[in-house]
Parts: sequence; structure tokens; C-alpha cells
Amino acid sequence: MRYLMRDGAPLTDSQWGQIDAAVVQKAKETLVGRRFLTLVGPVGASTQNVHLDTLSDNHPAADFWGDNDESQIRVKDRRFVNLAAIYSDFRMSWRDVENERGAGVQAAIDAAMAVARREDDVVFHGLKEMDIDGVFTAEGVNRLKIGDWNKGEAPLQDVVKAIEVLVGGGASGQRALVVSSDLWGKLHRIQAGTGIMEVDRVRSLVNGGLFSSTRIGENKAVLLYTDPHNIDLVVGQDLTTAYLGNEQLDHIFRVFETVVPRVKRPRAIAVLE
Amino acid sequence: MPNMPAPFVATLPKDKVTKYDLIQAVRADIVGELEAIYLYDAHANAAADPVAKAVLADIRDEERVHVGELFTLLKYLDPKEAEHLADGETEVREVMESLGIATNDDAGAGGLTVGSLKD
Ligand SMILES: [Fe+2]
Repeated sequence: MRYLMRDGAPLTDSQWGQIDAAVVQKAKETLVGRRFLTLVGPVGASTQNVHLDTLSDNHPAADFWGDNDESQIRVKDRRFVNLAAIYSDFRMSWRDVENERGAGVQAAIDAAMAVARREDDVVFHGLKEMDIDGVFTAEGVNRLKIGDWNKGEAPLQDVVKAIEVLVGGGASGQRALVVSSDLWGKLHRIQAGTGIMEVDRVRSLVNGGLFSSTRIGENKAVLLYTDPHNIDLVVGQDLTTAYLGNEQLDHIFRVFETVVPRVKRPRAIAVLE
Repeated sequence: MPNMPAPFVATLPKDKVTKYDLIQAVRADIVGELEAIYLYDAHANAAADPVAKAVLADIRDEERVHVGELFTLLKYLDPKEAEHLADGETEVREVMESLGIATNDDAGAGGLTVGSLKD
């Protein structure tokens, strides 16, 4: 991957190794969307766009002759979405480069965290400038009013309601729930009369996992059926570190990736807000 | 079958081979290992007896390790050759990239990657 220009950097293999390990570890700790979305790729850094298909509705036919082609499911709409380049640059001073003991890795870790957070922003909220829809912003997602999760069984009731709506819309398979950090806190209370934490009752309803994210705002949650025919995440170049060049005696690096979420069936998503 | 000249003109006293002769000898040794892999693989595939098949396949894989050792030794003895080998690798990666096929160093030199975090 010549475009990463890593050979141009004055780093030893061991220094690159430290940076790579730290960057990947921090990204793994930070990313939430990738814990429930199916990853497609990496399809390569040179891939600039991928198709996003919407299928026609499924109206199975039942008749005598079997010659009704109105029921055929086909691609109703195909559009091409661009992969967003997400990046964060960091600087290593010449002193840190000379220091083999890993100084300067901290800056790489911060850059990795910034990129990982931004990926989740794009997953949840899309990227308007690039016409990318996110889980919360795609047209056609179900929007339900959220109850007061401090009170009674509101969390459980909200989730059950959301499941009903989605199953009613034809969704099936694994479902995941992502809640904002404040709601995550509110789930950690014992449900009166049951001796069970509300979070455990809610978790029992989501076989695809319960996650909390700092990237979805306050008092918000989203329930979604995570099968890749509903939604997936395409990665072109997975998160990595490139060398940008030197400035005075310092060296500039870039942590970056190219990625795009594809919300294919918004009706498999219910936003609680 | 490789048809190569004798590696040394005469039986030289210990430690008296030149570096050049040594490098050439390692090249000849690599050819020998590749030939061995070629034959063991054919024999392992042809063997009906399961023990023979397994033993021959095992030896074949040991020969593969020897190729790796000898190439590493060659690169150590002849850094120029190492550069040419690396250029060749880069050229293949570029071809793959132009075809849109992901190469295993897409994640960077470390080969480390985030990938899917789904259980
Ligand atoms: Fe051998």
C-alpha cells in the first residue's frame, strides 16, 4: 500500500508495530456500531462507492395458475453511495521519534479514538454532506416516543412496543438495542417486586446484544434487526495509520479509514426518542 | 529436474568459499528444495497407503520450511536480492489493487486490523 507512505517515515518496524497495536486496540474499545453490524469488506482503498438497493415490497401471490408476476421481488431502486474517508491527524516530535520507548504513541491513540467515534457518528447519524443515511436519520425508520425510563417498567415496555412494531413490519432475526449513556444508567436499577435489574430484563429481549453509546445524544435508543439484508457496514480501507510527511523536524501521521453504512430496510429500525 | 553446474569448481578447504560462491550455493539449494517439494507432493498425492501419504506430506511441508529458511539466508547474504524480491511483491500488490482485490497488507505494515467486532 504505497499510498500509506509508511516507508517514508523515520520509524523503525518496532515503532510502527507499537503504533499499529495501540491504534487497533483503541479503535476496538471505542467502536460500537461494528459490534452489531455485519461488516462487508475491506473492499479496498481504491473503492469509492458501493450500491445500495431498495427492493420492491413483498406481496406473495396466491392464485390458481401461478402466472401473477405482480408479486415478483426486484430491485426497485439502486443508488450508489460514496465511502466516507474518516481521518484524524497526529504529530510526533523528532524527540519522540528518536525515543524508541513508545513516546508519541499517545497521540496515535487519541487519533484512533477520534476516528472510531466519528465512524459511530456516521453509523448513527449519517453524513449529510455526502448523502449518507444513518440509523437515526434514514427516511422510513419507525419513530416511537420514549417513556420516562426512571419510572416503573417503562424501558421494558418501550422495547416490547418497538419489537411489536418491527415484527409487524416484517422484521425477523437478531435484534440489537443501542441506548444513550444516560439511559444506560437508568437501566441499572432493581425493578420493584422482581428483584431483577431492569437492564437484565431488557437484555433478555435483545438476542443481538445491548449496547450503550456516547454518540447518539441523550434520552435516545434504537432497536434494530441487524440482519445484513436490513443494514450493513461497508469498509473500503480499514482503520490504519499513514505517514503524511514532515514539518520542520516533526512528523505528521494520519489515522484513517473509508466506510459507509447501508441502511437497506429502514422499517427494520425503530428509534425511541 | 534442474540442470545446474557444480557449485564449486573444486573441493575447497573449510571456510574458503567466497561470499559469491556461497550465495550461488544457496540458490542451488533453494532449487533442490523446490524440486523435493515437487516430488514429495506428487508422491503423497499418489500414495494409496494412508501412512505413506501422511509421512510424504509431512516431509513435503518440512521442505517448504527449508525454502523459507534458505530465502531468508539468501536475503541476509545478498541484501540487493532482498530488494528485488520486495519490488516483486510490491508489483504484484499493485496489480491486485488495480483489479480491486484486497491484499493482506491493507491494514498497514503490521497486518493488524480492526475488522468485524460482532460476536
Ligand atoms: Fe529439505
